[in-house]
Amino acid sequence: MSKHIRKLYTRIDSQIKSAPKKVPTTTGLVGKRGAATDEGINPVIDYVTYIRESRESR
Amino acid sequence: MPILDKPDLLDAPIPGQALTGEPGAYPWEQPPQLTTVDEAVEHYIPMFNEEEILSGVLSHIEGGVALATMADLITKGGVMTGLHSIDVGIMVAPVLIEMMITSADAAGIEYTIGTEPKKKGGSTKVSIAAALRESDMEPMIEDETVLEEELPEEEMEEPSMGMMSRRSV
Repeated sequence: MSKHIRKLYTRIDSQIKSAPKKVPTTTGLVGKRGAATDEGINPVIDYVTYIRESRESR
Repeated sequence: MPILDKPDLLDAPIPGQALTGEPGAYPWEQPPQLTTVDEAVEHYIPMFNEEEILSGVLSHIEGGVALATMADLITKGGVMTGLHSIDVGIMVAPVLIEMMITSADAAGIEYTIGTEPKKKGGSTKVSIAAALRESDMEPMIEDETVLEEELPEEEMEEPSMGMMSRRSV
């Protein structure tokens, strides 16, 4: 299990570092016509990014 | 025989042993209480505000335990108590690692995540001897030799001279 955790953390870390810093805001609700879907959104990446940003802003 | 040097092989469970117990007897065989990553994060994050838990975590980090290993232990505990499934445990682990980094940074403690590339070589006999010399510690082997010298030799039992006893050559 530890091996999987290490792999996942490395993957998330590289994904966050390679991603553009400012994500364009979505308009409208999910499911509406023309609105952005939640496909590809990973809550783990959101949590890690949030914690990292709040740590760096201290 | 090299196979006997590994006691784990002999202590391993018999194939199918897990199926002999009553189903649902253990907490991890019950439906998990927290089914999503969000719920698991909500459960684990407040732990880092408790002084007792935080001091324990920080002392382990200071001792050189990798953060990935710590996250593994914490999530495995959650699985064992039936809080969440293994999948949710793995998914929540990076969040725990990130929280531990924040805590270690705030406390000014150096840490290793566990994803760093391993150094080639590792500890050799020479490096161990050098470390012992630096710490002014005597190697344990010397003490053992002294103990062996102090121990009295066991007296040899005289062979029984019964009719069925084997003759010594």
